[in-house]
Formats: sequence, C-alpha cells, structure tokens
Amino acid sequence: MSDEKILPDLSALLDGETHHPEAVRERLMNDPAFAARYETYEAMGDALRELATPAVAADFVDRVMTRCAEVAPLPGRPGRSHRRLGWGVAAALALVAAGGLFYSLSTTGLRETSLARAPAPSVSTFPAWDVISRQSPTDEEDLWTDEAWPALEGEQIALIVADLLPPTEEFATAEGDADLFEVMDMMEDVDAEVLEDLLKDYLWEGHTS
Amino acid sequence: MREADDWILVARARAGDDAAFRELVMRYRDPVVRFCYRMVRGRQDAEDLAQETFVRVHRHLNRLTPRARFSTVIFGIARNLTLNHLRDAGRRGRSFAESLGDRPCADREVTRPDRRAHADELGRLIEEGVNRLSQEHREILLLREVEDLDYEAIADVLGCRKGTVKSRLARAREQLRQHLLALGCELP
Repeated sequence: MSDEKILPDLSALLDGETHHPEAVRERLMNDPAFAARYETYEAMGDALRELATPAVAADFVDRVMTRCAEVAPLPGRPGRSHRRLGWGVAAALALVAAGGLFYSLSTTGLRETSLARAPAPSVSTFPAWDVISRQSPTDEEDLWTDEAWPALEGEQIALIVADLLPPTEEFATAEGDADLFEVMDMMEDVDAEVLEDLLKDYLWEGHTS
Repeated sequence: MREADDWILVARARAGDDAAFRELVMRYRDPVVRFCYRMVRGRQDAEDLAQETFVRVHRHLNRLTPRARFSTVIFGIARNLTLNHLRDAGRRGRSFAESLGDRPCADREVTRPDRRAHADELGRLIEEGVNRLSQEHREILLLREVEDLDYEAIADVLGCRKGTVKSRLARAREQLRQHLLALGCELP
C-alpha cells in the first residue's frame, strides 16, 4: 500500500481508530522509516500534552457565575427535542423568516429604512440557500440546536438577509445588487444573540402556523 | 459515566441549581481555557472566550439536548467562538502571528538538567510548529491529542464525518512533522 493511502491508517492506529491494524503493523515491522514516523507522531502527541498553558485566573469560575447571574437562560422550545427538519424545509423557512425579520426590525424602529415596505421575498429568490446548507454536515441537522446554529454567525445571517432583499434605491449598487456591507452596517446595532433568537422564533412560528 | 454525570448536572442547573452549573464550569474550565489558548494564543483572550463559552452554555441550558456528549457541545461552542475571534482579529489587521506574545511559565517540574533542557527545547519547537499549522489542522490536533476526544466526538465538534476526521488528523500530524523538521528538530 502506498504511503499516501496508509498514512491515515498509521495516524488512526495511534488513536486506536484504524480499520486496518494488521496491514499497518506489518508495514511497521518491515519498514524502519515508517516505524520512525509512527514514533515521531507519538512523540509529538506527548510533547503537545506537556505544553504548559497559563494558569487560569483564580476568580475565573466566580466571574463566570456572576455573568451568568446577569443573563437569564432562554426558555426552552415546546416539542423541540423531538423535532427534526429536512434541510429543504429548514432553508425555505429561513427564507420566509429572514424576510419577516427584516420587516420586523424595520418596523420596531431599530433602524429607519425604506425597505420597511419591501415585499416579502419568495423562495425562488434564495441564492444563499447554500450558505445554510454548507454549515450543516448532515441532511437532518436540527436547526434549533446550538450544535448547528453557531455556524450561522453575523456575516452569514447578513448574507441571507442581503440575498433576500429586493434591489431598492437605497441598497442598490452600481451593478444593481444589494450591498452586503450596507446590510451588515444596519445589523450592527442588533445584538447577535437577539438576532439569532428572532430568526429562530420566526422559524418556529412559521413551522407551527 | 462522566458524560452521564455531565447531563445530570445540566438537568440540575436547568432546575435552578447554581452549584450544579458551577460544578460543570469547574470540570471544563481548564480544558476549555487550554483549547482557547492554543487556538488564539493570548491568555486574556483565551479566558474571555472561555468565559463566553460557559455563559452561552448557561444561556442555552433549557435548549441543550443530551443527544450529543456534553463535551462535544461545549467544545463546539468554544471552537466557534475562537474561530470568530480569529476571523475578527484578521479583519482588524492583527494576525495570528502578532498575538504570539504570551509565553506561559512552565508549570511542570523536570528534575534532570539534561532532560529539562531537552524537554524545554522540544516544547519550544512543538509550540512553534503548532503555531505554524493552519487553524483547521491546529484545532483537530488539539482536540485529539490534548483534549483526548475520540473521532466520533471530534466529528461532532467540527460538524464533519469520521472519515474526514481521520484524514484531516493524518494531514495535521504530517504537517506538524514537516514544520518540526524545518525548524531543525531532531525527531525519532
């Protein structure tokens, strides 16, 4: 077996995760250079584990608890633990949610904009579909779990919103496209966690209505 | 058993038991700070990011589900925060290399002078080699070698398949080996 093919198994042997232990061990016994590489990987791991890290501040835990006391936990979502969505449905809901979110942000006075009266976008105008789908490695990711959602941070959410915005005088560039940075400027005043919660609420409401 | 204990603590914290949440923080304080430190290379930044990790866990207590291991949940959050931090630092013109100011004091006793010198030198070279790795290779190496997560847990944290973990880890180790050779490290 070539080096290129067997090196992942050599690495995995170190971790007890290879499916071809016999082939790797045979190579280790017959190829001194290969065995030396295995020893190097072992030594690297040992050295990594022995690297010193700064002592954590003595009041770290107290500071965490103080900050947690200032922010109440978010409420749970009804039936959430049993709900799983296909990505097609989740992405479609995200479209509607983001459009509704933008309208909501505008009308709640977070930022004055002529887009407050923009028509709701349609599913067919969603080129940012792949933004969401790229964040999920599986076909059945639960959109509401924190395992999935942190991948969609400010810029990604802005991309989704920007893609949904119909071109208007205020947001059109010379090429007629919505200006992402204008959208991000507009969203700057909105706390990222608030934005996340608003999006999730719209998704939830869209799914249950 | 410990993973089950973690979720029991989460359940108690959810019910308002601050002592349970404090226990969770104490359990994961060092691993999370250590991971953040190795990723962003600044002591204060690492502690701030680790704090934020726990605050987010607390904020989402009622939304966590025990489908995944708790360690993968918390490292997943820490990872995303460190990636955002590195991305933002890059935007501000501060490179990863510029943040390499902190050098922790060695907190490990090595009695033999010759062993101490060798260990210090290897440690320095390993540190330099790890710093030269891409973020992708650095994080997977840290999660496996330092935080001792298995491939399935790493796959959960990174949001990829186990096969990807296997191949990416192999490339990370090989890349580190190449960096060490370039730095003049005497390897077995």
